[in-house]
Amino acid sequence: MNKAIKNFVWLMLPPCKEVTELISLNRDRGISFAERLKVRAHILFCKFCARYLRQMQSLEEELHHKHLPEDAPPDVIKRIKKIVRDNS
Amino acid sequence: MAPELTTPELWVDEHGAYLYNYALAQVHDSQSAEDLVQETFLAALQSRQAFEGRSPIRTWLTGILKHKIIDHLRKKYRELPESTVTLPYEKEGLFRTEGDMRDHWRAEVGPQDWVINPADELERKEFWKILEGCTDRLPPRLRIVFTLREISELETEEICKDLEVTATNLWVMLHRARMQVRRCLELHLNA
Ligand SMILES: [Zn+2]
Repeated sequence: MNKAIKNFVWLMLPPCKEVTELISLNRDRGISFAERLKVRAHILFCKFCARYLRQMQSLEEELHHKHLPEDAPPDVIKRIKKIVRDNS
Repeated sequence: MAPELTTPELWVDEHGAYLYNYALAQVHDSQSAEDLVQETFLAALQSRQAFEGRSPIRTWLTGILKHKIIDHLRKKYRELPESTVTLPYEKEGLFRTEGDMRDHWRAEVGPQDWVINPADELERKEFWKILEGCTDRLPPRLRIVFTLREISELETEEICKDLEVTATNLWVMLHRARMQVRRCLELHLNA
């Protein structure tokens, strides 16, 4: 892309701080089509925001899938079992 | 296994540890997690007749526990004072404050690639440990809001109603919590 055009497009786009806010808003209540386009365009120019978006997506995915451990302290399980037995 | 063939004690063997970890990831306090799981099993015993085995037992138990966790967090949130602290990422100043590039990342502190990849099975455990440490360090009210949204996966409308906060207020808290957790993760994953 021509450098002048590139600069012009960049100036029309929201700054990084606003992009991070739009990414949060998008997750919570959705953002408009125009806002989405601005975020996408910004990310083409900005490696920091591209990483930010990727990281937030993988963080959400991890939190959502909750690969929780399948073991717990034995004494906790023992105490819970006792209560269940006493109340069965 | 048909539900009538399982005894409540077996429920504890099969699902107790899972439920405990599920609670612990949200309440961040082992005693409360244990209490909540205990109450869940007691409630399950009482409503056993109503459970017709249409869903797996674990799903049924998790559903009961989820409500108890949300109740617990809601009560805790109300007891806590409003937090006005500046978060570490805010003190650090991740964005430029002047010039043409105002509100853009400062190059020295802009997002870096993470060394530990959560999608990697082997690295996942390490990632969760660090993530837990990072959410633990959030101011208590922010931690509850972040947990309800990202781990309990409540809709924002529901959180607003439960905690009696406005949508804008909630959104500001969520964004600050996310910014802080991400920055904390980055600093510790790449340490
Ligand atoms: Zn950017």
